Amino acid sequence: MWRWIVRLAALVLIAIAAYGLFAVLWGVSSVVDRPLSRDPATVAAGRYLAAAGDCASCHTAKGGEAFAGGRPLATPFGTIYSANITPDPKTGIADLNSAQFYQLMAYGADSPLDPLYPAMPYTSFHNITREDSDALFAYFMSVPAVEQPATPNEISFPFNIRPLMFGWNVLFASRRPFEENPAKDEVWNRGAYLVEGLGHCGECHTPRNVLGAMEADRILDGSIVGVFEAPDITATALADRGWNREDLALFFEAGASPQGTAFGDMFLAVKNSLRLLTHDDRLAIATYLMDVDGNAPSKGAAVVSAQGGNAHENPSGQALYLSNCSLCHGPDGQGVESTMPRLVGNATLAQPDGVNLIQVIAHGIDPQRMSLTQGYGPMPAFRDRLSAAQMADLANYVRSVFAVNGNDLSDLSEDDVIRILR
Amino acid sequence: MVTVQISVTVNGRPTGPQTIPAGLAMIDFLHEYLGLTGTKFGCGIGVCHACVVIVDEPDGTSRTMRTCISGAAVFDGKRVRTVEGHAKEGRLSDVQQAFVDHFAFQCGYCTSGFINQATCLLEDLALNPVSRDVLEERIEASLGDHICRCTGYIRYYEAVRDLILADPQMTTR
Repeated sequence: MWRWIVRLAALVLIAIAAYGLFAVLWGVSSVVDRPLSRDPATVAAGRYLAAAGDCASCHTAKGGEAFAGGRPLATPFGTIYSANITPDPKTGIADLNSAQFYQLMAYGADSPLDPLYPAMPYTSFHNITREDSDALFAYFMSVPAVEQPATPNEISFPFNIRPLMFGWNVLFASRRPFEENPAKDEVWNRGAYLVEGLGHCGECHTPRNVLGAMEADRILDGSIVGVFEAPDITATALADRGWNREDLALFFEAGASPQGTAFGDMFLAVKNSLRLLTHDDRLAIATYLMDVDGNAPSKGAAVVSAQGGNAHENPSGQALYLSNCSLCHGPDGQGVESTMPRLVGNATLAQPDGVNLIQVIAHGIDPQRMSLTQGYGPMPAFRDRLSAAQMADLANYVRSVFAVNGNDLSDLSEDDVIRILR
Repeated sequence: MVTVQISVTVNGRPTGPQTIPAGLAMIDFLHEYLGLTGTKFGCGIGVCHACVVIVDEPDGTSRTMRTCISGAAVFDGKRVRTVEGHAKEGRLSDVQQAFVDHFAFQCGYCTSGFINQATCLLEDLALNPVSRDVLEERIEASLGDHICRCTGYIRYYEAVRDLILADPQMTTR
């Protein structure tokens, strides 16, 4: 009997030792340290890359000091608090070197004991070049140090055993460095580097499996994140919804374009990251997403309201539109620039499952101020004014007359609305 | 033009059925069809809340709705109160009198909206009193969306607060 217990214990110890060896050798695979740069040009390059990575949105808490962390991120496995990434000696990253910083960015771990959770998108950042990682490191080491201890995570068992992440990483976290696609031009490749890497677009727009990992064969296919859907942003889906490269770049600059306005988390992504990029980089991102030639303009034809044509097919939906929506969005869906989003050609209406349209009708949108001169007014919530059947009727009307693919969209039913709002 | 038929009860008086354009704003219906011009058109985009009217629900609760961004058809079958409905037999309502006494308004453009919103708040507090130490937040949550460019809100706030505190039924200690 005892012999068996000893054997079992030995087996467990060997397994733990083997896992430990794997964590040390693979999990934190060695990287050469390089001296920290204090060169202002490198620091400035790092600041730009921090904007591209939207680091502040997670690492700066609401009303908190820049990059001092402590912002809660709700996940299905518990709440994770972002880290202090200021160069504070006690609570920040002052004791890191550039090799450890790169390991954290690319592998999500600089020690075998406490790897990061993939709430930090190393799952995307793995494609960052060492040069860019070092520039980012130089920037964060130059920002004002803030002494602010980490807030402990609230993660449920067994996910709170951090070294288990190495197993997850083997299964789900790519470590592929960025490789240019020689068949594509330089602009496209720059866009690919930003979208797949620092931009970490897939972290919202790619669906996740039960263990919270992005599904590798459904990159950018769209996913529900909270209330809203981060829509399918593959090239075909974007084109189907009326997007073209130039308008997409405009959307990244202003949060608004002829295809509608950014709302929810995408509004923040534009406000805190995309609009701070150079026009060339925004155009590169749009080039990659639309999968077009970096030089050829791709501007589509102007979209004209089909209201005259299809309106008679849904008179009850039209009456609902006119009395509930038209006083802001206009009888022809034309909107008012920088005040009320345009509905003609609006890409959100063109999303086939109608999730975002129904959510917006039901819950409204808070006013969105991109800058002093650009913003959009509040959209009222209609959930206690319109029944599910009326919302379906209204949604089917605006989809059929305003969406570029209106003729191809199937009608939403009352049950669809109830399911979306459940 | 797409038209709809509506019947709305305004200040206790049934109107209609009338045939109106489906896209007619409620405020234009009040002004042009009923001759009730006390409701003011401010920003026209649902932000300033000058144009709110009271809607009395069948369950006994009331709420305000903006009439510049809502079509008249939305009010079909509903009971609506506008600023013209508050004074009874030549006497101002308590809210109206308090605003006069406190010199709460100057140009008066936002006043009908404030009167409707404050009336809703008082009626709700009479049924669901709140503790005195959260009263300020409660008033702010109720009236905070209303924009006034003359007297700077303080006098409106004080008028509403004094009215509420004068009635022991509306607050708890």
